[in-house]
Amino acid sequence: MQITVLTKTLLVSIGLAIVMVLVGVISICVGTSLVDLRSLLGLGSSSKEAQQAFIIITEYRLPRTLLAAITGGGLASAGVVFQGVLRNPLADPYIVGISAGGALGAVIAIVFMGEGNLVGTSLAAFVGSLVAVAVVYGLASLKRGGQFTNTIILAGVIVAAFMNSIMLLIMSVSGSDEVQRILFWLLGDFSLADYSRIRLGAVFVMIGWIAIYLNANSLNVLIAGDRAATSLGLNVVVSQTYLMAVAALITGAVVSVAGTVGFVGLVVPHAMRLMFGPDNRVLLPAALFGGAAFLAAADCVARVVAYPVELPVGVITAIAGAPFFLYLLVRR
Amino acid sequence: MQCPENSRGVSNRSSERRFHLEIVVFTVMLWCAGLLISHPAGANCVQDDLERMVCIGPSVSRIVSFAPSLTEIVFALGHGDHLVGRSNFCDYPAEATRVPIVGSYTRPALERVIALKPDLVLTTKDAAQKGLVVKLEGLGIPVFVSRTLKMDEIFDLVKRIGRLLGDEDVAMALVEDLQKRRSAVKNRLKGVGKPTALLVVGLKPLFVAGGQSFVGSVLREAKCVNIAEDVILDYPKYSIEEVIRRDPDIILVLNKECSSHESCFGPWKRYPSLSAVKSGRVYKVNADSLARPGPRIIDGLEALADILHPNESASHPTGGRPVTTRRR
Repeated sequence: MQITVLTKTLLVSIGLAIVMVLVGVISICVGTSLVDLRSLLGLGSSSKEAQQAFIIITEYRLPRTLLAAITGGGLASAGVVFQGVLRNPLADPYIVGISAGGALGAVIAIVFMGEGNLVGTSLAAFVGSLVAVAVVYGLASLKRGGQFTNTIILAGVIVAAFMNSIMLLIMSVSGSDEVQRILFWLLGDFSLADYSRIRLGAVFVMIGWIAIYLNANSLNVLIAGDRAATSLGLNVVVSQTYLMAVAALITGAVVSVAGTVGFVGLVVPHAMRLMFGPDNRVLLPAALFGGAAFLAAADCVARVVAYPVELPVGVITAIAGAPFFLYLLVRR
Repeated sequence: MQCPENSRGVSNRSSERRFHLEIVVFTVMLWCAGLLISHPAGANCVQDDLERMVCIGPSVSRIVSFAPSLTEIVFALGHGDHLVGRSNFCDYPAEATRVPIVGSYTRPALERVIALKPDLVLTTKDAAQKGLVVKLEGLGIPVFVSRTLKMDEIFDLVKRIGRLLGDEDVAMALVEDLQKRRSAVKNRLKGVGKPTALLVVGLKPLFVAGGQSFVGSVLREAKCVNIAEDVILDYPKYSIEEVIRRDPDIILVLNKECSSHESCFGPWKRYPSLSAVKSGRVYKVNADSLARPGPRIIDGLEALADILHPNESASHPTGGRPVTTRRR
């Protein structure tokens, strides 16, 4: 019996949402002793340990896990869009230069504004990523034609390389002693999560994701090729621009609040495609929940594996994600 | 067929070995002769922290320093007017800022160093890559590499640099003065209770001074228990959870991280269970005097002792020099 797309979407979404919630709960509880939990549940008690555990969970682990989940969901969804629109398996949310632009903005803010000015760093990263996307898209639009997607990819790579070298230039000329801070930003770090960042990230990811999901069918058609899409009545230029613009906004927003976390936007879409098939109507919710679960888990590992020393989350996403992805690749 | 070849091989090998031995002996002799030639009478030789012998002529007049701490030592020994090059971080004393910059702390420009024709280059192990040291040595420029891991080692470092510059007496006097102030601190802190403390070197995200770090040794000297004492890394990114659990009595933040008391204290208000937050004991401390292994370390130690043990500071015999707050 053939199950309908809607049923499959619901099943996959509910299943992965349960996984995501489980990962979140485990992540929030890891490191807490049973005593802490018990004293937490007996909320009336005002013992010092209970108060400490309460603050650790509400002020540290919960915001951190939420931000990781939002970032993971956003990056994986954006990855689905870029891989689909550009019809390239190596595409990821950073392919149009967002990570390089965001990193350049963040490094400028860290080096010249100093003192860990977080609002400035986020804003500069967001502006930087938008500038990068605008330049790449502007360049590609100049030569619109059959080679559009290839031009985007090449322009993205070149603009990213250019912005990366400007970033390295600033780092080496300024003689800044903020190298460690910059490194953690580049590899992604959720230890600074607070509820205002979460709100910002959540708004962008939710609205953006819905805007993409409503056009999941156009994305399906785009994958068939420009000519096929046109003959099916789709305005290719408008659809491509719209989808990429929304995905870029999502990516820019999560990069500005969490840094350039790598690997999630490339691997989670592929993993979901290998598990649940290429239909974007199923793939988009799968990437949202799967990406959220994956990054929340990776962040939990980064937080506890060398406790009390914390690792950058980007290290964990690659170390844990690569073997899993290779397994999926070989199994098929 | 194989056996004869093998036996011949053996005899060859043993004669080869003898030959190698001769080469080694000869090389050692040459090296000794070289040492005698290149170190004429009157040269000052000391061992640096890479266990190399560094020798320079009796009249040193052109010094380049790659590290703020070493620049401060050179000035404290009265050789400031011999300094011809410095790093961008060398900003103390004020006279130092008039000396030309040869590059950033971790990236001194070899070309600029050579152009200054120094007869001594001072650097820390962190400031100069090994390749740079080898190149400078190859050009006949003596390089003294320091590596200060603990507060104790500063006194010996000052003495050695004094000997190198031919001013051992000045160095001895300086060390004696520093030691005197150090024991004054030690005396007044005798038998005090040790509060727990955390020294924050990076606020967002949180980087702290571990027990192995240089600053960690100053914390021990100032009689407190560093809650991050057991961390293996020098300045790790530390979990805020563990800070909340270990609950330090006092939180010290390096002033490069926050310019006002409010900006040092503000980020901690999120964690109201912290004792340091409840009692308001979050302090801004001077990064330059605490983290630079130079003569001002005693200023840093005195300031730290005043913060950690306010009740003992009133009876402070030398009064303690005020630590000026300067941004790096």
